Amino acid sequence: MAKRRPVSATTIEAVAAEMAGHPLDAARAASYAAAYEPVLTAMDMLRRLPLKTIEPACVFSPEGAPDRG
Amino acid sequence: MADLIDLSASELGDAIAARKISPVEVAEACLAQIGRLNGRLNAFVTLDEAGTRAAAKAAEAQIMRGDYLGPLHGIPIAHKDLYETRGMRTTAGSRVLEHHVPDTDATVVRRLSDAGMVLLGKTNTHEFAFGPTNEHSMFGAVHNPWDLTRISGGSSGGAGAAIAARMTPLASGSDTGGSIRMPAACCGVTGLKPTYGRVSRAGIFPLCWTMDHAGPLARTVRDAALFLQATAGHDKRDAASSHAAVPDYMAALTGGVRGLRIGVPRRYFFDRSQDSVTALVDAALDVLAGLGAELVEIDIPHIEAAAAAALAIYLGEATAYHDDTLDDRAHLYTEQVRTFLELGDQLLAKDYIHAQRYRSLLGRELTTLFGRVDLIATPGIAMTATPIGGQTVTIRGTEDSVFGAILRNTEPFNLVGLPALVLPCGFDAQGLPASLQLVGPAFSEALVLRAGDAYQRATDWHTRRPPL
Repeated sequence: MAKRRPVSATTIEAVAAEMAGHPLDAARAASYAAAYEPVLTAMDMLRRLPLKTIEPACVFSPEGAPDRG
Repeated sequence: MADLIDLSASELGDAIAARKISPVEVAEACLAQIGRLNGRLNAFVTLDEAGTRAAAKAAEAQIMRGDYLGPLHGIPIAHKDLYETRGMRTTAGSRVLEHHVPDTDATVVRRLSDAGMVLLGKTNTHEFAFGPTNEHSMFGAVHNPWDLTRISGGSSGGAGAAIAARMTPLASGSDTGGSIRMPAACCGVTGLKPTYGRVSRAGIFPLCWTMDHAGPLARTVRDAALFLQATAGHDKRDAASSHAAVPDYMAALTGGVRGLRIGVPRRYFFDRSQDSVTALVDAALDVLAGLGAELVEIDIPHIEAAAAAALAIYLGEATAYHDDTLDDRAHLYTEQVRTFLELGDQLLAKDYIHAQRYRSLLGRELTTLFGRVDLIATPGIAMTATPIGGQTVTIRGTEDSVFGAILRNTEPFNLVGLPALVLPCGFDAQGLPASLQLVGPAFSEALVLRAGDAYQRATDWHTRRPPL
């Protein structure tokens, strides 16, 4: 599995402004970087699970299919 | 007759059916209790006393002329402020919806109204249900009736406190990571998260579409069964609603657990819970064993990744739902909820998909285990209620975040959508309630309720009243 570097405030700020469209001020970006590092550590755990042959729990069902609500 | 507010919904229903008491007397007793205690608990955020009295009077007249609708007719109900109520403000605990008055009812609200229930008002919720403590709401924190300095649990915290404090006999809640069961555990009441799709989510503000469940908080398992009976069943307004037939849940309450195999997963669920909590849960399991159940030690593979998967789904789905509001009204959210939502902007799509794949993996592991056992039993939550404002809790020498610890035992069963019941099983040395959680296979609510009801027939923890 690819190794990642710790997330930085610069990355948080860039993603928020350039990708998500919800710009953050520098102070908020710095605090989010600290809060997000443990989230990414948790995501690392998911990435290491034996999921290769497993499909996501939510699968597409066409509108109007008989088993759809 | 006992004080009306001490009677369960089913006891009130029996007395109303026999015309020994009137819905008007019951409603007045609840309104008086709300008036006496809400200033300290902050459980209710909206009341319509005139509407409540009018509905109770109408129910009384209907019953007196012989048009009895069934066991919930004339019984008061409080709805979580996440449920849309026609003509009554619905805020989700957020300034974003501060002035929102819906023009339709949530399906659960309508079905309970059709069953003759009398609406008292709306209960406090953690903002948009995005938190397990009920500290962060535009209305302020809910206070635990057993110790006003402690959390009620959330996000259906107003409901938990209101049931424990005898303000209402029955309340609705929603549960995305444990938001029915955590307040039930903290406040010493009964909470049921049904199978995903069993009860309609239509008209309830979503937190995460794939993990949201609607269900009751109640004084007793029997009352939770009454709520489920009236609300379960297909709803075309909810894309996830199941077509599965609705069994007779009341008939299932036979009091018997003889021969039931109850799986006990020590790793993760017990060995990361407070000693005082596990001692009380073990005592509860001894009661069930004494009634004829067989306890079977089990292990759930990969369970330790549940929190990570749940986190990816909370962040992904909740942020998608709130995307447009974050554009221009982020300042209206409480700081904690705003932080979670803006962190969701950073989540990678592949991690959300890994989380959805993990749900399949965990579901398979549990399906295999349910070939060996009928139910799984765990502590409802890992600890008793923590102080309001507390960020961390130490369990067996290890410090953890309150959010992480309180969600640990409940959120795995949101990921797999299985029915889970929490019920009180004793008190710690500080007088705070602890709880037992019983989990069954998909759509086995009748079995889960049967076991919980059998436990409550043999014990009286659910009858204890906070010293308010």
